[in-house]
Amino acid sequence: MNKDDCTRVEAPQMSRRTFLGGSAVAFGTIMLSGALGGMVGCSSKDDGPSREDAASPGDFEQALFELYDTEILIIGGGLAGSHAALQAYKQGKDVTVVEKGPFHFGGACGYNWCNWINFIQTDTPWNQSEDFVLNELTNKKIAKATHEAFTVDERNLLLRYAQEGNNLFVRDEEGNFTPGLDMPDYPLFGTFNGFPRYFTDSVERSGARIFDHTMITDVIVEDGACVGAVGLHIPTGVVRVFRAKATVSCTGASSWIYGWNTVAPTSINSPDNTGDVDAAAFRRGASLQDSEFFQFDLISMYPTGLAATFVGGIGADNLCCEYICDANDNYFFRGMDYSTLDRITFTRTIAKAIHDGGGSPNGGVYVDFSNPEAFNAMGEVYRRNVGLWKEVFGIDVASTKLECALEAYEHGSNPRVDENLMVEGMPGLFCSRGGGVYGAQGGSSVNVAYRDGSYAMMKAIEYAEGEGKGRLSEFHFDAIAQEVNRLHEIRVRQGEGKRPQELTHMIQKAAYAACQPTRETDAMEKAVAELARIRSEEMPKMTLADQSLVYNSDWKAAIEAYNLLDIAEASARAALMREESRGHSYRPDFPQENPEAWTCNVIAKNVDGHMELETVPVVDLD
Amino acid sequence: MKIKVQKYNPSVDAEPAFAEYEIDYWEHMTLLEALVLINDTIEPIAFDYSCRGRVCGRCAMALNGTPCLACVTLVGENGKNDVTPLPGFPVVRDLIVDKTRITDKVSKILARQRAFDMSLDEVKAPVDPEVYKKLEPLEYCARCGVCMAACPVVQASGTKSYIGPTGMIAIANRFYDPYDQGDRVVEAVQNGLWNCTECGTCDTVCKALEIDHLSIWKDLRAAAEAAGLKPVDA
Repeated sequence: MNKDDCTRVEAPQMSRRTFLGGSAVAFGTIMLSGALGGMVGCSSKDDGPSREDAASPGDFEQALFELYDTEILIIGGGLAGSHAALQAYKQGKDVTVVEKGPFHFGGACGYNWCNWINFIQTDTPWNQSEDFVLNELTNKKIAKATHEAFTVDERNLLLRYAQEGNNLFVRDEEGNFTPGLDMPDYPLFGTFNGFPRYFTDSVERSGARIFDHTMITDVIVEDGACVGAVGLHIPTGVVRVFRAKATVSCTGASSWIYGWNTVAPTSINSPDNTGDVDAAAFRRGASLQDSEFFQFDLISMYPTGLAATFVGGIGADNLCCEYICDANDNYFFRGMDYSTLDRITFTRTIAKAIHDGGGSPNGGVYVDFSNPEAFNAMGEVYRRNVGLWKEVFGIDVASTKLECALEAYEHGSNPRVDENLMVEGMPGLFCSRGGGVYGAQGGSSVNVAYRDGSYAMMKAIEYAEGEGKGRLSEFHFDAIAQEVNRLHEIRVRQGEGKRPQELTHMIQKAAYAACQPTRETDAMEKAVAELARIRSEEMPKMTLADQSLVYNSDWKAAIEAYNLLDIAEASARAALMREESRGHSYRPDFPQENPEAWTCNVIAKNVDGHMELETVPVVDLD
Repeated sequence: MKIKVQKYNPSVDAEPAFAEYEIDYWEHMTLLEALVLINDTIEPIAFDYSCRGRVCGRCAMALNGTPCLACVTLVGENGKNDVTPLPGFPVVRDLIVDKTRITDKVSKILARQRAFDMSLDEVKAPVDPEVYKKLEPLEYCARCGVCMAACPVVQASGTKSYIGPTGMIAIANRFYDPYDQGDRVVEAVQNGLWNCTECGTCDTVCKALEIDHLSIWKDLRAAAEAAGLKPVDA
């Protein structure tokens, strides 16, 4: 079938590359269900001149989809996804990358930021690993397998960054290589100025087929196994079906649930981080795990347009806690041994200071810039914004105490995986950051994203050439039809209710109240009740202000609202369930870690359309 | 405050049209904040953003005709605020444009040309501090395309005679890169180094403040001249 015969919306200004991305093996149409067809037919709301979409299925009662076949599908082109793709390239495998963001760049590779990278001096056994994520709630089989699968050179990100095109990292005035972190008795050094976009450049050049601007909305499960995923191409509104022998989810954190300021939650995360694949897998039967755990970082909350984003803001991490004080001028970190201060202790110390009455008006603390040394202590990623603030906003932070709050830069709530990083109960779907990888750490470190992206791909290739090989012959289109209908029903929904953006902000505010680093039980209970109310009362009435197909931002937001709600509910309820202080969170009602009662994982399961939570034992070595 | 946004759905509309909105202003309000406010509380606008800190390049557009990143550009409480898509790029809808042509090109340019893989010893070896000072700022190019949209040469005659500042910065990256073994001077000249008028508009609009465009163009021109690659009429 010829593409041009059946594509309804092709704007002549668009490059064909953006539209086609690769070659579809087939195009198909799916009959929209009777009720929906009728609804679509009479739903052309008159909301002003020239705003009706000529391509609305109101003229049809069928929805078009494109079908693509690939050996292995990678969802997400960020830190993990780029390494998954490069691993496949190394092994000569055919992969397709689906990326939600534009121009092929996604996740943390879509940010041109000078991230922290490690270089390993000496090899270590898995349980003394350099990766900072091993804790009591980590699945030990995963920790061992993912560590031992690679040599020191392969784990050594410094070299990998340099080989893919990164330049000089941090140098001193004489041009000498300068580690940013050099801990005694620790097997590695760290340095800043790793620019992860070079990895995406490499993927681009490797010849992998990349479909950008495409958000995954469902995973295809046939006979209990995952055989691909369904996505929506945002610029055209065409559903894309990707059939694959194995699928690797490399999506990032879903911290977009964590509050709302003016343009973003209290998080550095991208608006793409809405947990689309995690929520889709959950709806299809996967268990979400580690949902109660986040990772936090201290960052400025003003000016509001740059709130909580460390690439635009100014703040402090555990390398410059000397200059952090509370509202009562109490420098509560001083006297602690900074060299061994890990991120969990850092966050919980701040959370406790806030709870004890030292909080700033916006629930944070302060970084004191009266000492110019404070600027030298912070990473370049923050420091370069001092000049920006002066130039754009006329704000000079020198000599001020800058209010900063804890932003969630990482979050769990991922499908529970086994030691092959394959989703439990859903063979064929692999997750670079699955439930069990990070445990109480709450999320990734850069090197683990790369390592586990590679590892998930190695295991996905084994699966695709073994058990997954014959799975596609059983492919049916029932599940596809179901998803296409779900998506178009959302698009044309005309209730009496709120638009998806407003509902999303309600979900974000509830999740923020429940998932704070300082977790007050009353607030958490209210938040859980609010999320239940949003689900039962608000979501069915949701109303979209745009029903068109071409880059319909209301449609995208509406699909995301369902995903955010699933992740928010799992996170808020798991946080409430865990009656102890662990990871980055401090519960004043349960101020201590309680290993006896809570050395376990909390998982959320979809039982007949309802979310049920339970505890399961942490996986240890056999 | 008042703000006008150009709306356009090429699959339906004959031509773009402005929609005007009245919104509440607050101190230090960015263009991105204004757009999110309209999209969330008045009506949908197609626009894109991600990092809110000038490192992703996704919110590139134009305010009152000047290309900018919406996340670090202020709106005026009382002045004119006319928002249009990034000039010179095909419009998908409203403020969404297709920048694939330049981003793909940059990816290709940045492939480091090497005969052999780099070793850890090479990575950690000292470098000329002057090279570091020149090269490190270039890492912050977000490939947002704001400089291309502002470049008078590109806007007047497209990218055939001059690749534009975004592409030239990528070439300069590998020109300074001590590990690159390709001939980037030839590449710079091929891509229109001498057609740049050195007007400095790129440097004015660029929010990667570390990058000193004019000094880079000067270095490249000096290297080209030294290599005998200066046209007689330049």
